[in-house]
Amino acid sequence: MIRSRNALMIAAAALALAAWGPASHAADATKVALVPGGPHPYFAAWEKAGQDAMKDFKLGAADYRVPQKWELGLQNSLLESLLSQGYNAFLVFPGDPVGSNSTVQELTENGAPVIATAGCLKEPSSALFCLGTDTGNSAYLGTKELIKAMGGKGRVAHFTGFLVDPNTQLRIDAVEKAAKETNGAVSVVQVIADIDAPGPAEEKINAYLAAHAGDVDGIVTTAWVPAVVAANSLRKIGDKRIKMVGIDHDEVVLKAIKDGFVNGTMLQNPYGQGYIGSYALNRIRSGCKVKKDAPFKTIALTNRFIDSGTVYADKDAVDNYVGSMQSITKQIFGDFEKTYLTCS
Amino acid sequence: MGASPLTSWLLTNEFGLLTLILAFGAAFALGTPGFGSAFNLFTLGRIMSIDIMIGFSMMVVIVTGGLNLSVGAIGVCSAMAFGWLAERAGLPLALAIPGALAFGGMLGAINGQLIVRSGLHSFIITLATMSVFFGVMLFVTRAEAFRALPAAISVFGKTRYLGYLSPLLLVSAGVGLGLAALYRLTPLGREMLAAGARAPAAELSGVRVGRTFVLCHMLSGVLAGVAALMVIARTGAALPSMAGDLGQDWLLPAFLGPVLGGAALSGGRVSVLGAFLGAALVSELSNGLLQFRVGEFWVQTYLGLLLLIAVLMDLGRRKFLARIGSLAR
Amino acid sequence: MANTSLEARGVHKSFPGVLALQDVSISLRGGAIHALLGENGAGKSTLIKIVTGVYRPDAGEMLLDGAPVRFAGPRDAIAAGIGVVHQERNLIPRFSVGENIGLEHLGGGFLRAIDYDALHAEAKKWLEVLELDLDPRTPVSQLNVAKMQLVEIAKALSLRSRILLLDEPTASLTPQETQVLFRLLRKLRDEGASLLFVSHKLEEVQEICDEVTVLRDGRNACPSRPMTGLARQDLVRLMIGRNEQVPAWSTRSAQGKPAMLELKGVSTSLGHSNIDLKLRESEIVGLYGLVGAGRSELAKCILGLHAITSGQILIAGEPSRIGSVAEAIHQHGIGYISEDRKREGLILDHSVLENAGVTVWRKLMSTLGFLRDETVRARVAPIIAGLEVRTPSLAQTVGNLSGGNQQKISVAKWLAAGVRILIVDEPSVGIDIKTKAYIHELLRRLADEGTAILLITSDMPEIITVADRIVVMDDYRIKGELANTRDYTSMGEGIMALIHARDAA
Repeated sequence: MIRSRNALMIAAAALALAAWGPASHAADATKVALVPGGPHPYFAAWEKAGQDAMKDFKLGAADYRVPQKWELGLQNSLLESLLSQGYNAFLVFPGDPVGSNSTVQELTENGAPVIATAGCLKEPSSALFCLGTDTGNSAYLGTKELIKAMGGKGRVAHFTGFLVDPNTQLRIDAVEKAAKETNGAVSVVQVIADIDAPGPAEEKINAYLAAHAGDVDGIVTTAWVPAVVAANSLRKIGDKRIKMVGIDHDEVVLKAIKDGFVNGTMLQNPYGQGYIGSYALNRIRSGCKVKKDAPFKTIALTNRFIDSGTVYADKDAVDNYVGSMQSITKQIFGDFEKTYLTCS
Repeated sequence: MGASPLTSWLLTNEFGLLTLILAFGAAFALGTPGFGSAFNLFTLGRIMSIDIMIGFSMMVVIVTGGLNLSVGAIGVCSAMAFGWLAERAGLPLALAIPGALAFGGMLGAINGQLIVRSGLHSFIITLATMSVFFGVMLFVTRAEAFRALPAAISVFGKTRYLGYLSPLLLVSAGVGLGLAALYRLTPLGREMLAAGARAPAAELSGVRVGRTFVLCHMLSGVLAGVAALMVIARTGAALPSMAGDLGQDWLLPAFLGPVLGGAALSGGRVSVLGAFLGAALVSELSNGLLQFRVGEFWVQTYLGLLLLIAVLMDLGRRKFLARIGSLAR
Repeated sequence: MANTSLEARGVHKSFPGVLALQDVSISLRGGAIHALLGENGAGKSTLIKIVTGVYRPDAGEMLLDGAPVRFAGPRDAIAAGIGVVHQERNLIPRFSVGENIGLEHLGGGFLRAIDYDALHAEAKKWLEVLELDLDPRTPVSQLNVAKMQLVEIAKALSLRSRILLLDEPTASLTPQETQVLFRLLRKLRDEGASLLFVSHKLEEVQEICDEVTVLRDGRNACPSRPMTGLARQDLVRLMIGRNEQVPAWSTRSAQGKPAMLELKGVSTSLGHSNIDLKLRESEIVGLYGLVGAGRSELAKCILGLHAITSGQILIAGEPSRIGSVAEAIHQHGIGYISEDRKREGLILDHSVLENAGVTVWRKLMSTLGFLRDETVRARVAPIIAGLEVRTPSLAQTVGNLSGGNQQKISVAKWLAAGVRILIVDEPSVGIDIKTKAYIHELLRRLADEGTAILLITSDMPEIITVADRIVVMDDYRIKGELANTRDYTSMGEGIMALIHARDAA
């Protein structure tokens, strides 16, 4: 009996060994994986973008794959696994601007081009470029809109995202910059950060507004969850005196804009990131190169940044926000290849 | 009692784990093309080596009949200490690495001293120090990562022998051999086991139980430091968030390996090979599940189910063999 | 006897390796208080557990009011009207006094709510009977030991038992509390109840009991008989009189040999005061006392586990401060065989080799700090073989060996370590008679070879058999010292006299 079990085991081991060795990657079709840093509503549009890109550009696959939670190790494991599964092109939101570099480099070395998407990697990096919202610019424009709504003066509170996210500091600085330009008419009286999750956001924003609603005239939010929570909070206290400019396109925020509790929102373009990114990866795989002298923007982390666009939507534009996104996407897409790639 | 050495080896937990690893390996390799690829084996080995080391770090404390909830926190603190030594103080790796490990050992020794002196259960003490260590680390580093580390360490993490073997796995194997030698071949290791199995009896036999327990916790701290350095080798940066909030993300691998490997939670009995294989099995299962594309959010559920099946199969195997053994006699 | 309420006839009970009861009979009468006497290990607790249905006898019968009965478990015995106050506490600390008293008859069904007011009123009634001013709502964990003992008695009373067994009920009571209890017991007796009273305090037994049964070595030393006509001396003789077991060893004297261990006016943090004790080379000093006299505690203070607060310890004539057991063993050569073999003596989950070798690991390690099993085996195997330990191999788990063989292992580790001073604490608890005799011979032989031995025991025959000199301890003090003449009767009486000397005064 024992002998037959041994034989079985040896057979199993032999089978395992037979499968050992490099799996052959199908060289023809581009299989894109769109991988965020963890679950977050911002990235939901990537799924649709991938599907559309697959249809429009005849890709082998363009799948949206989410790590179970925001943990660098999990994201790295997922990326490594996806590579073994035959994905050969990646749109990655870096879980850490430095910590993700090593995995991205491995993907690239194994023949899979990577575009850092929605967030950038710190240079030197082997990603092709970074495609995302110019967060500083978005925050700056949003604050300008808020100041306009406040009549050019007053006190502003700023609610924003995780401190570990390098974008957060850029946003804080941009809001500050917009306020400074008023020569003292507008001041930022409070910055609450590290609250891009429902629990802490509810707690801190509600507590702040309960105690200090009278001390502020305007609120600018530069992260998804704080925008939702602040919009809800203003609705709850029924305060239309306080002006607010939000970010992104959560139903709650959009509804609050229609009902007049929030003045407007800075739409980002996750759909466009996924769509254009998938397209670019496919072109690169079919022989195109990134232009050395392309008109990249420079931000703190990288000098190879492409803005995926941002647009302010107020009461009148809210209903057609998808249209607004698609029109920016079309705009960028129109001359993307000409601007950034050289194809032989 | 009358069983042949072969039968008794076949009855061991270690053999059971090895069988399961090979069986699941074969199943995954047949089921998905990616699992057996050289790159996947390389990355699997690398993840495995870290989980094994985290498991060892817990195992050396499970020996005492206690546990160390602060493994993750100590790991992060050692990583940040390494980052500071290598980046800010500019020390060469030959100094920064021992320095970081010594720092981990020191934090472990603090745990040990508190436990021995207060007489409280290690659960309470390490639950507290988990927060304290992590909190102080956040305060001191202001949650800023060290990202300009010497390239050599991330080169080490990317090195591939024969296309599929990560040197990190060799480090884990080496540390495992060292631990096995400690428990089998040195009076100190034997005293750790004796004190863990029954402290009063060991004390009355001349074992300095308190000192031995402190050493176990110190060793746990050093091993947590080794695991942390391996994480750095993989990511190329020392991140405060590398083990999650308070280092909690390390707790599951910390317990799974030793417990699957057959360590007695009451202390005094431990299997280094078992902990190694146990961690290897868990890593293999999660890797295989990702390959099968069961959907990232289902991985945990399937992982739990597979572990349950694995343990039940192992139970069945032992009962089966025991029956054969008794028939043969 | 006419109104016999509960009778056990010809009861046998054995546990693996030990014959605990052999042909034991006892007969309780309604309206009488019956004393059950015997030394530690004579079989009293076993008999009580049989009568209350905890154990089932291997042979023999039980009669309740003349009719044969069989108890499948304690609940049967309770239903038959037998209540018991156990020596060990059986209260649930987090529950209130009232809940504990009413525990056996809480409410009607599983799902019916408990009527707490009724419960507490009922409990209050029984507390008042005991003249105990206590709110039934108090959690038991807040009570002191004496109060807990009384609550335990109230609990037994509340079951309205016709037959009440009390195992050392006065052990933790003050004289006043004892008197209250006695008044109550007499009242119950006068109402016709049968009471069985177990105690080491002979004065109490003589004060309150009408009848007596004495057990010795698991047999009846006397059948159930009236107390009248028995003097204290007679009871002592019945309890300890087994001269036939003393081997014909010569009386030895270590006079003139150098003192190996000497305590001069030692007081300890555990409450010992002014202890003087001298242990010479080749001498066996027996330290006798009842359970709780502070003997094991003294041993642990000598070993350095607890602090010496004043006085001096001399080892081989040198004043010494022992900071830890490791020091005691490795620097001073003191070994200790614990009375609590399972907790303190051995690591039951580990092998024979590990257990016997633990004391010499450090000595045997190579200069590089390594230690191989073969090295330990070479040292330990001859000793294990010499002690005739029955084990299939040195790799055997100690927990699987018999009590006697386990005890040999705990001796073996000190033989391996080669100690000069050996403290042996209750070496024959839970081991069979043959191994017991073997251990006694071994202790003699070790002493002949020069080891100084301090033998702690509450087993009087053992101390008279083995010791050269007997020191009596009670209440953390040395009460006196006797040279051992090996005359059973006179030694036994002398020892008892020393123990009770202060109590009477």
